[in-house]
Amino acid sequence: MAYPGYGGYGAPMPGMPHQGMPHQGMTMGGHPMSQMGGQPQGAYAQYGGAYQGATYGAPPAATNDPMWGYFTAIAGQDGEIDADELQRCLTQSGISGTYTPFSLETCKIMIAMLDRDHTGKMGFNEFKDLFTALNGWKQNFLMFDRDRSGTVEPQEMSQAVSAMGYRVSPQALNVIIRRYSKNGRVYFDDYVACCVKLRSLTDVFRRRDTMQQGAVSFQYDDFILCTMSI
Amino acid sequence: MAYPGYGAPPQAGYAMGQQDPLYGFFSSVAGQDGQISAEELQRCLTQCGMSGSYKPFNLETCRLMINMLDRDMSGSMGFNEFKELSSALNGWKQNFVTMDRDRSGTIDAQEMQQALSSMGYNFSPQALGVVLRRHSTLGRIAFDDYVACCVRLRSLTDHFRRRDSSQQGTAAFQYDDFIQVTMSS
Repeated sequence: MAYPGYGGYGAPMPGMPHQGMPHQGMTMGGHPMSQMGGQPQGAYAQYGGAYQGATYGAPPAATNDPMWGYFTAIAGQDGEIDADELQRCLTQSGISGTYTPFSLETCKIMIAMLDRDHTGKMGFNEFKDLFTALNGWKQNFLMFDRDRSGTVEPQEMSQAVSAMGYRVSPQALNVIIRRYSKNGRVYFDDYVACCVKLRSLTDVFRRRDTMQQGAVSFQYDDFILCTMSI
Repeated sequence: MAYPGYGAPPQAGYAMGQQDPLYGFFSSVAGQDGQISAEELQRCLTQCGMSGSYKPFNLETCRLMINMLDRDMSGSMGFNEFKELSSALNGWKQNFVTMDRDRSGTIDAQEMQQALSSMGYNFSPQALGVVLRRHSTLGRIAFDDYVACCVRLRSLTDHFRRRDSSQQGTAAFQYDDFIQVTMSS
């Protein structure tokens, strides 16, 4: 994606507005992730500030939004973006920094993360929220992918997770790294999958931790509903 | 992986002397290091025609399966883990094939619900809806989606049950523990 600050990291996507146009809420203004959000609350962390839902005041009318043309080009006839369309779009963008297609599984969980109306597809506002989040995660990733290989080493992955504000044990970090490594490295699309899951699961947990104790008692059915949706 | 030219894993009747019949197959898939990685598992299942369609078996599902059985936390599968997996996969495949009458390689939501029910799961309509949506593509469930769903349900239920000390259907999780359980499933 040809966002300011990306330099040569992937070709501009077809139909993307030129860099000269102001992008409402598209970039994080360059502040490093670790400065976002302030102190973690108890056992939790603040999310990487990239994901806070719509960050603009009164949203511009959709058709005036620079992202709109881009969205409709990807969404096609049905006006919504499904996992396959998202995969194609992200692969073409070169956002992963490698030559392999962006993981379809990651696309599915990104849609699941934002799918408020449970359609299995993304509408325009959800799409904008996703790009904001992706941009933030990408910037975080780039802090650790110094050789621009599109991958990070396991311990850099741990650092990236901590940089987003998550406070988890070394054991939990090991679980995460094992789950998301391929051939001893963590690729960008798997890193994104990890960010999505961490964010969604932390959200789910926090909403049930009414006493802010860092502990939740789940009923089985609710547990399955929360954990299988992601 | 250049392994012997059988299309499917050898059945119990396959003569391999005194060795476990599955061992020869296992070692040809595992290669030099004697352990099966997610990529090797994917190649193996694809070549066996396990997915029942022309697409490769889903790599993500392979990673899930290895994680599920990975007791020594090595990130790959040894022989005993492989045997356990083969046995589970064959069971799931038989169930799936029974339901996939038109041999399309996919089943619908209702059939999936019946399958889950027959495995002993008894979810609310809401939980069921969530499970089905997450593991289907355009309303249909392919074999590797079905396996992913079974694997995850089994793993999550297992973790939950171990924390449900009074067997009342309630389990308490600390945040860190919750993250460990859910990020590995």
